[in-house]
Amino acid sequence: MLKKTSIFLTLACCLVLGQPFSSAAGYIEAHLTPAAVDIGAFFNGTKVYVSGDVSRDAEVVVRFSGIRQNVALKKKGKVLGLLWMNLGSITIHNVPNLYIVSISKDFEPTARRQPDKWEEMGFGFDALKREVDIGSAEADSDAIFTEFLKLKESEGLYAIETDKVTYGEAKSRGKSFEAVLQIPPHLTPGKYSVETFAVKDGTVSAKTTAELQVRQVGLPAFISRLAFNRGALYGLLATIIAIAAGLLMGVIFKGEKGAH
Amino acid sequence: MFWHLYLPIAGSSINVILIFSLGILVGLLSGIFGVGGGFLMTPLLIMIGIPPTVAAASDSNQIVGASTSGTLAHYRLGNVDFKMGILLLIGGVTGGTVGVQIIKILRAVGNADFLIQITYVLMLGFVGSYMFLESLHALRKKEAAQEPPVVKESRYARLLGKLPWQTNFETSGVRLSVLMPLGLGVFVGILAAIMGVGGGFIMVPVMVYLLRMPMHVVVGTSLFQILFTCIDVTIMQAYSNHTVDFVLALILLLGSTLGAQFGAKVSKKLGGDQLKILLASIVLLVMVKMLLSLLLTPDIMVAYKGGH
Repeated sequence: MLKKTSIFLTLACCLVLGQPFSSAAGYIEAHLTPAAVDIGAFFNGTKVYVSGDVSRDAEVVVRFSGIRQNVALKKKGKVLGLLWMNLGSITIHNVPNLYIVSISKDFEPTARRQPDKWEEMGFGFDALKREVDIGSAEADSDAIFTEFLKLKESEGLYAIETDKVTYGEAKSRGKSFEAVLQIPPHLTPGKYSVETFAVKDGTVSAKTTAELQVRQVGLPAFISRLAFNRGALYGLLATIIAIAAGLLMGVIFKGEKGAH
Repeated sequence: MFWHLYLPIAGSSINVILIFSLGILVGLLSGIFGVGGGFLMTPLLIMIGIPPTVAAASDSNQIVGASTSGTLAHYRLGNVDFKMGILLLIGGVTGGTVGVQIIKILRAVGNADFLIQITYVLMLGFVGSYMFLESLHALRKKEAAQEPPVVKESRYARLLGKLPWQTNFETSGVRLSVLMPLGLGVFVGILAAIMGVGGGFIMVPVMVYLLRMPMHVVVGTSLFQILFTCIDVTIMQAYSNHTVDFVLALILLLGSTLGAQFGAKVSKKLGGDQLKILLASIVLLVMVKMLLSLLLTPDIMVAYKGGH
């Protein structure tokens, strides 16, 4: 009850003062261009721009993340002290399939100096590690998470981008900003969230969230539907086309031989 | 941008030229030696970011095209022994079914991967070395004296002669018991299923040394057989695992069907012993590659589950 009252009061204050939120708390507004990512036949990754306005004295942090899921991994280990093999498997629970945090070049030293604050605000891989569950039975969960990060980073799905946010001219209320999200070609269709934070003095002063829908269109969408809904037919067609291609090539080559 | 195509099942995009060239290369190998080339293609696809299961399944789809093209080319050269091929195929399918059950038991016992990989490395090492030395010896002998080598009636040959249901295989020019191709087919099928490979590498030496078929007929007959194995695998994978990426397979097979035609021509030009030495070198190379992957410390200590 008390909480509701206080929210009401804050909102009332904002209205009276004629500002969306009190400037002491900071404000941020952002929109995505384009608002959705279409994967067509020639898709090879793309860029999504996050642009908007933020309090003049705040830094912008963009956290681009995918749905949380459980990931099954094979663990490598040594056999007979010599040979590397897949030994056993582990499941990491509640990890996003994509996790990219973007900041500006100027902000990087600050973030680096205060890793605790950075983690406290929920940014970066250390913060992520606290959110995922590797299972209490695993003694070397830290090491496993580090290796998992390497795997994701090698695919371009996990990253901390330190020069992707730029600021424009100062306005009466704040300044404009733009963040470039590099969308890797390796993207699974689905819902992604783009959270844009205003950070001041080591705390988040404002936040806005947008949803980014990634979907297959055109030929890829058609092939996916066929492969998943009519697997047998798809397999049959795939082999028939392959055989036809092989026969065709044979005929072409025979024709060539006859001409000589 | 135009040179990139998005793969709907693999969920990634690839460079068309790169994949097409890979197809030509593997098609060449397939036409020359009568192997599927999965040993080369699947790891290369994984390296460029295709998930392991999708790489293996799409590769088998591609091999259907390449081996059709190769079989046709070799058939025109009179290099396909259909009678032998069908018997081996029947044995191979039976063996494959048995092999899948064996692997289930091995997995339950534990440490199956270890056993499989070690067996594979030892087997490739043995087959490769034997083939290499034997054909080197034969080549030297040929240079020394042009007279036809005296065929010794070995214990193995006498044993073969005692088996029931002897029949003539005209194309191969051998007389054997029907049981031989059937039994060896089962053997190769079991191994192929356990190791998760097409089996061309084991089948070719088996046909050369145990069935005593001439090398050129071996290549054509092996391709004929691989064609049917891969049709089966492609449909099964598409139906039960949804891992066949047709866009990927199509680009690959455009290259490999072309490569297989040239391969068949190259194969005809080379002598049997030269073919054997080259194949032996490739087998040994694959063995070394596998051994290295076992010995070198991996960059990343975890991998997504679901590959083989």
